[in-house]
Amino acid sequence: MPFKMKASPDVKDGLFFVVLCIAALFMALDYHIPGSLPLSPALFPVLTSVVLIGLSSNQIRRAATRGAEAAEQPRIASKTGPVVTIFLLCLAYTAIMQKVGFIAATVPYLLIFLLALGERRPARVILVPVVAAAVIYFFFEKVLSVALP
Amino acid sequence: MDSFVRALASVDAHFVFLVFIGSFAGLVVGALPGLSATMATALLVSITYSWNFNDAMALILGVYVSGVYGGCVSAVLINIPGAPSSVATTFDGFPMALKGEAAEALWTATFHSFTGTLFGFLALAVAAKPVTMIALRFMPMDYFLLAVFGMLSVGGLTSKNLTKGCISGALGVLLAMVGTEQVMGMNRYTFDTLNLQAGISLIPALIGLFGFTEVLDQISQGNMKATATSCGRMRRDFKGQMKHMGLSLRASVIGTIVGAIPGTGGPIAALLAYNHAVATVRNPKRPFGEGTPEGIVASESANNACIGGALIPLLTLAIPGDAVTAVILAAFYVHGLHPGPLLFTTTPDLFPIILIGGLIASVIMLLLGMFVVPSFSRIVLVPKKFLLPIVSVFCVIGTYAAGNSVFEVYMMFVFGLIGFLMRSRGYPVAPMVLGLVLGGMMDTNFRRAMNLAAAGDNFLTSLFVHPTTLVLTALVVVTILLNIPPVGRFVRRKLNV
Repeated sequence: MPFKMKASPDVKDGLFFVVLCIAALFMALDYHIPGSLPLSPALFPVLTSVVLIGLSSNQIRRAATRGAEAAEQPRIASKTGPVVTIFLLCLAYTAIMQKVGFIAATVPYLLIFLLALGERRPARVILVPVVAAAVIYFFFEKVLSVALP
Repeated sequence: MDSFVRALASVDAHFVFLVFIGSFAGLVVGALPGLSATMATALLVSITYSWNFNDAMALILGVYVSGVYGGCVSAVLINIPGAPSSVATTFDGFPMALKGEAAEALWTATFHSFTGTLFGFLALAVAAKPVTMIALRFMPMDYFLLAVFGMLSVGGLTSKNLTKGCISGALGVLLAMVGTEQVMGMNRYTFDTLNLQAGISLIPALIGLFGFTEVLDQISQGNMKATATSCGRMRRDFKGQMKHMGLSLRASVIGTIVGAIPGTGGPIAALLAYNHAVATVRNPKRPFGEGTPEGIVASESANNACIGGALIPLLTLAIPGDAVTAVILAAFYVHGLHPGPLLFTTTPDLFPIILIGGLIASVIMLLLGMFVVPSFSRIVLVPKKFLLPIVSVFCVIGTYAAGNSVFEVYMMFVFGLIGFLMRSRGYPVAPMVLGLVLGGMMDTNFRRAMNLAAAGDNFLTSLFVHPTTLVLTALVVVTILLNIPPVGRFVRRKLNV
């Protein structure tokens, strides 16, 4: 049976999960309390890790035997740059919101987000963040009595 | 009967008004991703603790019924389930919205949410005790097998590849192991971090996997135009919906039974009903997953029927069926009432008030769905470049509001990234959520079952001696076999499906 391992994402994923689950399995072994196996806190994580290793191995086997071309083609993200930018922007927003509060952090966050997504009309770039931040603040803080930072 | 007459006499305009206010609030909360009916009910318990019980229940029932229903609005319009039980509604609801049929999808969801809720409350009235007796017979192994069956169904349902679905579910179960376990009190996978000792909270995981993943996914695709062209006017075609009544009733039965089994709740009911629809509907309008109303009928009937089902063990055994009923149980205690078999003898007027309140809430939900929900559909007309930043703020604030913890917000981002990577590699995220929800219950019940079996004379016969265990084991085995391609093809050929 010819094995065509080249660049199959399923094989890579399977290998990643196998390594992850072996780590989880070894960690779980530390949770075993000698004396009562059925009630041991290690029992279920060990079982789950073993099942996952089996499933991942099955995925590797299937992908390898079918070959990279025939394997289920994953939908690879077409634009990873904007995703990374927005993800970092969100992390920064959360960190800044703790320091300066909801309104002061949300208005510039939305403004930068809109610019990053290609909006260039000045009125909308300014109005949307201000109105959205004010409405969300009013709704959560005043209507739902949810305390915001 | 006397208690019903007395309860009816106590229902006045004030009571109906409170149900309406609760229903409207529930609709808004349910429709907004990140806000849950559980959170709203918890807030209401703190607000209404000094009210008389009937008024408090009117408000809470309104929020509960419309909160579950409201989840379908964002599920259809922006592919983000507003409530966990609306996960299955996204499978066909959003594809319908993309085809310009958002109004039809919402009307279908509204009508069958109404029929499901009605069925659930009627079941509560008629079959409370018999259903509870069945649920009472469940052994620890049965709970474990039920969870395995649910995950296998979801894994096979949401992915073309059962292995990928099962990997996603098993990862969710592994994530559910994080924190202090319930039997021995040992910390597992906490890395000596205080924030992880309570385990992974469900809300950051849900918002991350469904909400923030959607934001990242849409950005990666780069198309920032409106999600759908137009919702159009809602044609309230009652006659058209009547042709789905058979499926709606079957899904309602599934929803009521699953709702009555503690620890399961709306998501598993909706997904099982959806699976049932996939297996039984011969000529759907379109293939399932591509925008067929039958998918919405099954999901919405089942998740709303769960409401009545979940109230059965709550009222008769004081066992909450899901998160919201757990909060309602707290409301009972706050008002000095102790649910259980004695509830019917010590406070006989209470049960009919809950039934009547629930039925009124379901009618108000239908009216809100007919006349208020169409205006929500304007969300789909907003270009994504305006919608996505605001959705991301809702994700952050919704997570923060639930736990008042910035750590949980960061956790939500991590889940968002995991969901994005999983989606781009063809792994469904729904089984992971189910694994996360049921993992703790599976662990506890599996260990209890093993312990009981180890104490018996014969390990295997002790484990599988009960009829329910045998039935559930057979279901699990059959599900696995049917998902093995050659076996599935053989069965479909034999059944001429």
